[in-house]
Amino acid sequence: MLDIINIVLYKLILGKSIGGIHFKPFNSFEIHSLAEVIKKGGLMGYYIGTDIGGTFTDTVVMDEEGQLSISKVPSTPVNFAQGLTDGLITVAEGRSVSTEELLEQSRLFIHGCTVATNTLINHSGAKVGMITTQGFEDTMEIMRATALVQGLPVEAWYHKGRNPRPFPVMPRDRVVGIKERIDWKGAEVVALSAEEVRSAVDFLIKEKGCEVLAVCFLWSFVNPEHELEARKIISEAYPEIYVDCSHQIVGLIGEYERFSTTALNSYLRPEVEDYVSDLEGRLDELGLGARLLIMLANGGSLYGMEAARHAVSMIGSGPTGGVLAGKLMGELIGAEDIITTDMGGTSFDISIIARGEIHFTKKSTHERHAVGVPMAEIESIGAGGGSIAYIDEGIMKVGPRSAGMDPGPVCYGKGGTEPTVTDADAVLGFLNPEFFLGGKMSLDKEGAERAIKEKLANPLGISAVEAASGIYQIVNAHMADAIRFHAFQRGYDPRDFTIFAFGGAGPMHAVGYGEEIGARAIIVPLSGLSTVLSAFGICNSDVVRDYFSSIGMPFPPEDLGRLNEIYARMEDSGTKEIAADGFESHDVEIQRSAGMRYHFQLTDVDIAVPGGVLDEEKVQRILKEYDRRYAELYGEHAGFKESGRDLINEFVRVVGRTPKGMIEQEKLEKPDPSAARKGERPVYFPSVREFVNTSIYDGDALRPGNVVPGPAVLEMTGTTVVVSPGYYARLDSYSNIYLDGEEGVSTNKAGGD
Amino acid sequence: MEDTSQALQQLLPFGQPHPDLAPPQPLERTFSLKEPPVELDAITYEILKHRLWYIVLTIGETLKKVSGTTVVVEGNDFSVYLTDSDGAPVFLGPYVMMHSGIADMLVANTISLNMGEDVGIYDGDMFFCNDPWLGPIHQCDCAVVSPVFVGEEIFAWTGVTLHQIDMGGVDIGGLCPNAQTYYAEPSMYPAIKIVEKGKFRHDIDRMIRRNSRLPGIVALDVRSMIGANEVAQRDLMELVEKYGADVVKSAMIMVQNRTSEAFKERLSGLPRGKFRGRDFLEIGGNAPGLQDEIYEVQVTTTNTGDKLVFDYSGTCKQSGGFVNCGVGGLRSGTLTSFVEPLAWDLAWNAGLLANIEIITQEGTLHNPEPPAAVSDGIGEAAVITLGAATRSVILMVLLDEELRQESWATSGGAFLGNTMGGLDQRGQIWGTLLMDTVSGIPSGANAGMDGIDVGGTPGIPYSLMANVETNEFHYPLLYLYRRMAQDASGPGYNRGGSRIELCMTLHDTFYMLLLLWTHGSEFPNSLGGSGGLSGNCARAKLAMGTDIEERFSRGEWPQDIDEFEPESLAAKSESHLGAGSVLYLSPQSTAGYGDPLKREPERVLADVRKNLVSRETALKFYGVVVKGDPPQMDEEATALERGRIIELRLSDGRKPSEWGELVPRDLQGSPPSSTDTLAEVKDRKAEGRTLLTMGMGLRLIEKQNGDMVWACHDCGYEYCAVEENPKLEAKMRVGCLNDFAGPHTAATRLDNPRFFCRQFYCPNCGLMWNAETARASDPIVHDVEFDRDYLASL
Repeated sequence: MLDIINIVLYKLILGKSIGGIHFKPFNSFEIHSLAEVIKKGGLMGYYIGTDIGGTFTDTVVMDEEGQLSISKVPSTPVNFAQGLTDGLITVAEGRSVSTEELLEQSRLFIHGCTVATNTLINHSGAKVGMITTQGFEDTMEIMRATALVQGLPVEAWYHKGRNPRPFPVMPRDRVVGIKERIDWKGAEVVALSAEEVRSAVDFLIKEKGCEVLAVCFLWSFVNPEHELEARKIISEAYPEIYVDCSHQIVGLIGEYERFSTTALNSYLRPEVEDYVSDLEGRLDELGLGARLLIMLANGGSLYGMEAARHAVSMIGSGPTGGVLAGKLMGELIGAEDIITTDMGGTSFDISIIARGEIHFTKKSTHERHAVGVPMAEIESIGAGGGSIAYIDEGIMKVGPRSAGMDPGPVCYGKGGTEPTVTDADAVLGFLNPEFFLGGKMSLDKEGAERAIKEKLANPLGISAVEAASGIYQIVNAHMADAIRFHAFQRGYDPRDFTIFAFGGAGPMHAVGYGEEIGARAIIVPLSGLSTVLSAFGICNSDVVRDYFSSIGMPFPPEDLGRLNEIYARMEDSGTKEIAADGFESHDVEIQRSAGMRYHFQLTDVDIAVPGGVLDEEKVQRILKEYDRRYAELYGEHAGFKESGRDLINEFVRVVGRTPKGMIEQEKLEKPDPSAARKGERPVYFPSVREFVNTSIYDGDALRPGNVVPGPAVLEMTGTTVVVSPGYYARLDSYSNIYLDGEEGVSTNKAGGD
Repeated sequence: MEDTSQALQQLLPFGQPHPDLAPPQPLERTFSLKEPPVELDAITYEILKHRLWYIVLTIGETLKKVSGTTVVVEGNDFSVYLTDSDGAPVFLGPYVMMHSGIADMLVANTISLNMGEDVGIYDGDMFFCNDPWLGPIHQCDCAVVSPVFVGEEIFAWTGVTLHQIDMGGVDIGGLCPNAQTYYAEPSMYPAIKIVEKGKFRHDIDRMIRRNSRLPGIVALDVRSMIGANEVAQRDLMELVEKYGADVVKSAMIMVQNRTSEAFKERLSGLPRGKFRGRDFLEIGGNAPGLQDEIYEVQVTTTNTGDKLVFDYSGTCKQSGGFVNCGVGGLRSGTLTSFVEPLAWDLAWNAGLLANIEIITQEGTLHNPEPPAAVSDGIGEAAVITLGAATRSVILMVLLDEELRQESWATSGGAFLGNTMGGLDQRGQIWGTLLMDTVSGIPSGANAGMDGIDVGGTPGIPYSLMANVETNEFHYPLLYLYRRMAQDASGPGYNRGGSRIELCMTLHDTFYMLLLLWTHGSEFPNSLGGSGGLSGNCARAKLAMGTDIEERFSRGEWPQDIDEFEPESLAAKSESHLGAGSVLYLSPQSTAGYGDPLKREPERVLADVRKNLVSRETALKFYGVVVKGDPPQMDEEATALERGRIIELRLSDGRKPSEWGELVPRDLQGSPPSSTDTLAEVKDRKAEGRTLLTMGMGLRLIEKQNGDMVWACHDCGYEYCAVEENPKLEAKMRVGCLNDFAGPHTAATRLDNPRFFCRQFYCPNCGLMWNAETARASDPIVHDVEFDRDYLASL
C-alpha cells in the first residue's frame, strides 16, 4: 500500500508548476558579485533545492523567469541518491527540459538529506576509537549521570530504572587514555606522551579495527596544542585514517558534550562522506553546472565534502529547511515572530523565529546523545496523524504511540485496528474519503468510524462523532501545551507569535491549536507549496561558517584588546575561508555574538555584539542589551546585577549570501472564492458540537485575494485546510492562507491587503 | 544450646517502641480527598490534566533558569508542587521527591499559622519557610508557597522548595556537625511573608541575606522561587478564566482521586501482610560528643490491600547532633520509598498520600522534639528512613512476578554529601556542594537486569553532574580522574550498578575547607535482593602535602589515590586542604539481586574485560576463574570453584541458634559446632503447590495436607511454616563486611568493625537467598509475615 501512495503522489505532482506563485531573483546588483559558481553561467539558470526525507524526496526548482516547479517522489533508502535523481528527472520532465539541461544550467544546487540521521537511527556508523585524557576514559559512559533520562520525555523520568541506556556510538573498549593535561587557563600541566599516543593508536587500529579516530582532550578548546600534536602523530603513522579533534568540532567548554559531538561526527563521517562523494559523482556525470551545497542544521550550507566533514551538523538538515522557509516567508509578509509547526504522521515539530531570527541551540540530543554544535532548535513531540487514541481507566488519551505508516490509521485500510487522529479527521468530515491525496487513494471512513465506536465511544457511552471530536480536541490541546511550554522555556509568550502550520496534518489542526494558545495569526504558508516547504527553504539557504571561542572573562573586560583580538582572529579565518568559497565581500556578512551571564549564574544568554573594534561605547551597548534580553527571558527582577557579568564564549558567523528566490506578489483578486467551490458536505466542528453543512473548495484553485468564510474545507493535493465556523481563510498576494478569527484573532495584515 | 536460642529471642524484638518515649501515634494527615463539584467528561479532563501538568513543569523551568547554583540547575535539587486549597497535592513535579512529601504539611502549617491572626493570607502573598517543624527537612531547604485566589477564596496553592547553598549556622554550608541544638544551626523562618499583596518585602529579603555567608546566591534563589510561583499563578488563573473555577477545581480533584483509585488497585494486587526493613547511619568522626554513635530506623510496613501503613516503632531516639530530620523527612522518605517502584505510572499527589499512614513516636530520629539539631536531616535521618522503608517495599516487589522484573528489587545507597569552599583561583571566596557524588550513584539491580552504572540518584528523577571543565573553571580544582570505579557493584545474579570515583588536587590556590556529611562509610546502606550482596560504602580519602607538583613536572600523571598513601576520612569530617593535597571521593554503590554464583560466567567475564570487576572479585564472590590476557574464562576451574564455595557454605554454615554471638568466628574464638545431619536435610523436601515465589530465593508452598511452608526456591528444602522466620532455619555464616557483604565494601573501622554480614543459605543445596548487614546485637529481621486472610485467599 505504501508503494501505491508513493506512485500516486509521483504521478500526481509530476513536475507540477504551482500556479499563482512566481519567483524572481534579487536585483542584478547583488547577483553581479556572487560566488564564482553563479558567475560561471551568468544570471540565467535554475536554482534547485532538494530534500531527501525518510519517506519522500522533495525537489523545488526556481528559475529566473519566475517559474517554480516541485516534485515529490518516494525516497530510496538503499541508495538515497537514486531518489534524488528521480526527483530531478520528474521536475525536468514536467518542465519539458532534459535532466542534463536542467542540471547544466543550474546556478545553485542545495541539498538537504537524511543520511546522517538515518546512519544514527540505524546504528550503522563507523567503528570509532577515541584517545582522551587519562583518567577521563569513562566520560561518554557516565554521560553526566543522565544515561537513563537524557533525551527522553519527562514522563519517562518517573521510573528511570525501566529505561535502557542509549546505544553506544563508541563502546568503552575503544577508548584509550593518554598521559597529558592542560588546565583551565590553557597552561600545560603534564606534557603529551607521544609514545602513549602511538601505542594507543596501534591498539585501536590494529587490535580494535577502528576506522576513524576522535582525539578528545580536556581544555583543548582553550589550548589545542595537545590535540593537534596527537593528530600529527596519528597522521604520520596512519595517513589514511580519519581524525577528528574535539576543539575543531565544538569550541565550547564542557567535555561531555564536546566528546560526544566529536564521537558522533566521527561515527557519521565515513558514511556521510561516501554518500556525498557518490552524489557529487552522479551529479557530475549528469553535468551539474553548480557546485553541490549541503544544508546543515545550523541553518546554512557548505560545499560537498566540507559539509561532510561536519557530518554531525547534517543531523536535522532537512527539517531546518522548513524553519528557514518560515523565516523567509516571515520576512516577506513582515512577520518577525513566528512559531513554525510541522504536523506529520508521527511527530509534531515546533521551532521558534523571534525578531526575525531563528532560535538556535548549542545543546541538543539526537537518539539520546548530546550534540554541542549550534542547530536550529526543533522540538519534536509524539503527536501526528498516526497518533493512537485509547481509553485508560475511563479517560481518553491520544498518543504518543503512533500507528506510523504501517499499518497506519484504520481508514487507510492497511490492517490498522487502533483509531488514530487521522481516523478522527475522517469521521469528522475534514478529510474527503474520495479526495485523499488528490483523490488517488480512498479512505475507509466506515472502518474508522467503527474502530472509534468500538474502542472509544462505546466504553465512554458517547457517539462515535463525539469521540472523534474528543481525539481532535485532545491532540490539539496537547500540541498547544507543547508549543506554550517550548516558547516559555525560551523566554517567549506564544501569544505574541504567528503560527505557521504545515506538514500533511498541520493545516487541518492549525485553527485548533492556534486558537488554544491565542496566537496572533495562523498561516498556512504558500498554500499548496507547504508540503515541500523544507526544500523551498533549503533552496534559499546561505553558505554559513561558524567560529567559536570559549575564553571566559569578566565583562566589561579589563583588557578590551584581548577580546578584540579574539573576534579579529575568528573573523580573519572566516573572511579568508568564505573568499575561498568564491564570495566577494559585498556578499559576505559577519555576525558576532557572545554568551554572557551574571556571575554565579550558570545559564548563559546569547547577545549580539557590534562589529568593528569594540570600544567603551560598544561595551556599554552590549551590557544594556544583555540586561534587556535577560529581563525579557527570565523576568524583570530575576537578574542579580550586583554580582557582575561574565562573558563566557565568543561566536562569529560568516555568511556568504547566495541568490534568493523571491516570491513575486500577485495582484489580489476579488474576495469571492466561488470559482474554486467544489460542493458541500456535512462536517462536524467540535467548537459548535454539531454537523454543519460545509462548503468544500479546491484549494489549489483559490486565487490571491479570495476570502473563504468558515465553515469550509480547502482540499489541496498534499494537505487539507480546515476553516472552523467563525473563521475566514484569506489568501494574500503570496498565496499564504491566513486563518483569521472573527474577532480579530489575526491582526497581521502584512502582505495581504 | 537452649541458652543461645533464648539469647536470640531476648534481643529487642523488631519494631518494639521505646518504653521511655511517648506511645506511637499516627502522623496526622493534613488534607482530605474531595468530591469534584462538577463531573467532567473524559475529554475535558484529559485536556485540563495535561495543562495542569505543564503548569507544574513550567514552575521547575523558571526556577532553573533564574537560580544560580549547580545544585538547582544541574542537580535538580528542588521540588515544585501544585496543591488544592487545603494543601492536598495535585501534582508533585518530577524533581527531588525528598522535598515533595512536605507540600501538604507546609501549606497546612502556613494556613494555620497565618490565617485569622493579624498576619492574614491575601491575594498576592507569598510565604517563605525553612522551619523543619513546619515541613522542610532541614533549614537549607527553603520553600516559597503562595495562595491562588479566585474572588475572596483561596483556590489553590503553588510552591517550590529548593536547597540553598548557605543559610548560616555555625558551619559553612549550613549543615552543622558542630551543632548540638538548632540554636547553632541556620536561622529558621517560620512561614513569613516575602511578598505581601504583590509587593516584594525587601526587609525580609535583607534579613535572610544577612544570615547567609553567600548572600548573593541566596538572594538570587529567593528571586527564582518568587518568579516560579508568579509564572504558575498566571498560568493557573488563565485556565480558571477560560474554563471556570469549578471545572478546573474538578479536574484537580479528579487527578487526585484517580491516582488514589489506581494506587489502591495496585496495592490490592500485592501480597497483604507485614514487611520489615531497617537502616542505620553512623557519625564516625567530626561531631562533638557523638563520634561513635550509630542510629537506626526501623519500619514494619503493612499492606492492608488498599493502604500502606508504615509503623516506625523501634526507631532510635533523637540524636544530640545534626543528623535528625524534621518530620517532613519522615514523610518524604516514606513517600520516596514507594513512588517509583509502585506508582511510576501514576500522577504523584494526594491520591498516594491519602492511602498511606505513618505511625511514629515523638522524640525519635525523624520526629525529634525541639531544640534538636536537624541541619543534616536530608542526608541522614531522612535518607535512612527512605532506606528502611525501601527495604520493606522491595519485599513486596520481590513477591510480585512482574514488578520484580522492572522495579527496584534491591535498596540503594546514599549520596556523599560534601561542602567545599575557600579562595578560588581568582582570589574570591567560593563554596559549593559538588554534585558529582550526589548524581554519580548507580541504580540497583532487579530480576530483569543489572543495576545501571552511574545511573543517577533514586528519588531525583533527573539529576545531572557538572562537566569536569565547568567545575575546574569555577573552582580551584584539578581533577586527576573521574571514572567508574572497579569492583564497586554489589555482586549478584544481576549485579548492582557501579559508582563514580573522583580524585583531585588543589590548583591555583593554597587552601580549601572540606566538610563531609554522609554516612555508610563503615557499612553499606544498600541491601541486596534474594541473596544479592551489598554495594560499596562511601569513600573519602585524603593525602596532604604530596609531591604531586613534582610528579607533574616529571611528566607523571597519577592514576590512583593510593599512590599517595592517603588517610580514609570518616563519614562526618572536617579537613583543611593545602598545596599538594590530593582528595578522593566516591559515593555508595548499589546492591545485587540473586546469588552471585548463579550469574552466568560469561557475564562475569564481560565485566572483567570492561574492568568493572577484578579477577579477585570474580573468583571470590562469583566463583569464576579468569586467566590470561586478554582475560579468558576457565570453565572447568570455574565449575570446581563454584562447587567448592557451595561446599564451604554447607560445611561452615550453622543455624542462627547455634551461633553464640552474631560475630564472625575469627573474632569470636572457637567455632560453633554443627548439630544437624545430612540425612535430616535431604528428607525435608516440601511437595505441593507453589503459591508465591520470592525472587530467586524462596517459594511459599502449600503442601498436600494444607500446611503452608517456606521452601528453597531451587531444591524445595522446607524451612518452616509460613508464619515463622525462614532465616532461623537456614544455614548462616557471619563474616566481616569485605569478605561477606561485597568486595571492598567497608571503608572505615576495618580493624575494629561493628557491623557484620550474615549470609543465609539453603541447608540442602547451598543457595544463598538472603544477606543482611547489622551489628551483633541486632536481631535477625523477620522480613515477611503474611496476613492470614490473604494466605487463605491464595
